[in-house]
Amino acid sequence: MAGSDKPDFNLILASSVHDMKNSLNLVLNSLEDINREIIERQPELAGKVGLLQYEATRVNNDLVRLLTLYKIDQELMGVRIDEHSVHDLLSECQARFQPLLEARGIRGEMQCDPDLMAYFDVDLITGTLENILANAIRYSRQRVCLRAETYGSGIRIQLEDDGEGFPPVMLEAGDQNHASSDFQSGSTHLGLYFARVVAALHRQGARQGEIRLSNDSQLGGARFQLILP
Amino acid sequence: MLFRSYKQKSFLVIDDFDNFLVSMKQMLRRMGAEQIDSARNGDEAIELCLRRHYDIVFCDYNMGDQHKNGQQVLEELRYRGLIKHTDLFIMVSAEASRDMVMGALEYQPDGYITKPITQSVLQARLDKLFSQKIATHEINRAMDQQDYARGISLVNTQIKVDPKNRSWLLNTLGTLYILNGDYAHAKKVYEDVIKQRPLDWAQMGLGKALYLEGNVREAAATFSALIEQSPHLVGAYDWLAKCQRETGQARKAQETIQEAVNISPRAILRQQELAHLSRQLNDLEVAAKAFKASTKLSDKSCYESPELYLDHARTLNDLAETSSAPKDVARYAQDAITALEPVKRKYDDARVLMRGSLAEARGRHYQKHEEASRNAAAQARRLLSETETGEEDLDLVLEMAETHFAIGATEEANTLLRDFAERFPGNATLQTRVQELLEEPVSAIQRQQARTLNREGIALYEQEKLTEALAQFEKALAITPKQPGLNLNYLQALAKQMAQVERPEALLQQARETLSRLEGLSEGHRQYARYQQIRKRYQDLGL
Repeated sequence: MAGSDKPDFNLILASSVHDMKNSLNLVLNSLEDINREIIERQPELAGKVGLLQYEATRVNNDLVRLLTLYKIDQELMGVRIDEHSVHDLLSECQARFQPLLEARGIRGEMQCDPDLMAYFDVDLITGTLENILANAIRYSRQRVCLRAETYGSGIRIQLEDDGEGFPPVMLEAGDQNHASSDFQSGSTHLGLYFARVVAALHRQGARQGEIRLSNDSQLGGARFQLILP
Repeated sequence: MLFRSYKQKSFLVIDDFDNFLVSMKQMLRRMGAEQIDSARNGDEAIELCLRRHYDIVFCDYNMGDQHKNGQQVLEELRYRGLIKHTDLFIMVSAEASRDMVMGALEYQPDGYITKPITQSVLQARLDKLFSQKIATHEINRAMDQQDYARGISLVNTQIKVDPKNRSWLLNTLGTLYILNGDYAHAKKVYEDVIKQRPLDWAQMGLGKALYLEGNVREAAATFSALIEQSPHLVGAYDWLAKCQRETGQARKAQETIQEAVNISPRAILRQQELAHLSRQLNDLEVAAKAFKASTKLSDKSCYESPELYLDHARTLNDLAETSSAPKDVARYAQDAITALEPVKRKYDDARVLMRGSLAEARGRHYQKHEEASRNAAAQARRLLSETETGEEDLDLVLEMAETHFAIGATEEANTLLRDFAERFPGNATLQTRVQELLEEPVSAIQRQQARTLNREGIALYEQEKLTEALAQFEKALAITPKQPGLNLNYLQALAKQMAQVERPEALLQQARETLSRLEGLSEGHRQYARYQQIRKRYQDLGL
């Protein structure tokens, strides 16, 4: 590369992520295979494999989130709204986490009218739900519940768990539009920031999407709400 | 579970990553698939598809800079009819390429799946897309058979009972109406959708329907509004440019296409469009760049053509001809020679080779390799003499003569033109065009420059800016002094100017010289009547 050429960060990022995802694909597929055998042969080790799966999924989600936020920031991201089945959205999300749920012995529940349709960007909303779901599985004890229903002219998707609930600092930061970071606990709350940005990209007339956090879950833990107009 | 259905289907997985192919095959087998082939790049995949038909194709979007991307593979397969509407094409992408995938021009995949792909994800996504294909099978079959009327009636029935596929069905219904030439109904479908939500595809469809029914201005407004709403939707730029070009705004069309190319530089047709538009506008630098990108992208694709290579070389020759710095002339000429290399290698059609030799003759001439230049020109003449030609070869013969003029082989050029004109005495257009070139033996690019100046002069004349108009006409005359129309325009502007100045003597002298250039104009010339009129006017002035 000539000295005067400035590296194109977008390109470097894109091709590195492409590479990493290919490797992650391999890791996750192998883990899935191993998990399948382990459950039959040495079920006591299933938890450890589950943890590996969880961490690999987290790395993947981080990559996607990072890249998406970068693109939104650089105004490179187009929102692609169309009409989709909400039931399909939720069941695909759950399918993605099925191995992890099984490995951790958590029951994933789902409540949604099979005919419920809504307008949203399926990639962005899938990414958002996956981040939130991954967190919920990490902090729940035995149950997580994904639920969706009509809400005004749009929909509301809720995720509840039976864990400890959101820490107070997160609830306080709930309506701030920046990523508050808590590096000591290793969590940057980037997932929630991402969810908020994605929700706000969904507009209908003067209304826009939003997220709400609370600890009044029917299961006793955290309650996350995603409202799309 | 669709285990039994997958058992009977044939699968093709395309990815440059071996491990991915292995794991995909494994997962598909667990789901029931038995016939699974794989390819490491687009060219390999197309080879396979030529040999047998696949029902379900998974194609990675990004397979490296040296290979076709997933979108190009899809275009190639659809264009060649190797994949039908009833088949399933699924684009596999890393999130990173989502926006590139959105750059799709006309051909859209049936669905997307994002890496990493695990068994459960694959199962859920494939089951969903496959069920959708089954549900819409008859409609897709009607589209494959181009039986649009049947397709329309099938969609209208299904839409009442299949709410999950509503969006797809309405989108398809609009498309079917358009294909059937029923733009009024297509508009109605899209407008009804937009009343609910201003979805991109509905606005896109509405714009197309408006354009096709001839309402170009309203179509342009629709596409502009859509771009405002979704600046990444490159297809809208293509259509907007089309509208702008059609309403005489070539410069604006070029800007629009340029924006789309910046967003999505790997779309072949878009690069080609930019190249041609820029060449028409005489914006040679931009044209050369776009031709370079298109030829590279078109390599081994359905959009490859000898004309593309030739136009690239011609544009570079034009640049060499119009550059003043010797360094630039040499560089452009060398690029032109390089650009011609695939022509000889890939084609054996005599006319294509002739045009290639002509472009080579020009390039060598600008390189000051006069012997090589004359040899190339002689090669073109030899091929011409060995080929059976007719009236339809007029452009070829004109290009050949122009090239000979450009490299200083005036005698050969004159002979070529006279011989050709003699063969078709009854063809008036042919006679006029040959005559024009004989009168004004300059290159195409020079003629175009003179034409542009002439047009500018006319516009200024119409705005009553006579001094400026005269200046443009004079510049044009410096390039093509014999062109009758241009000389007459100049005389007309002079006459008007004379009536407004106190001392017209200097202008009279100009008029006298100009009139003498027109003396030989034959009675058969299409400008003859006008010439008579203007000469009469000057006679009244005492000339």
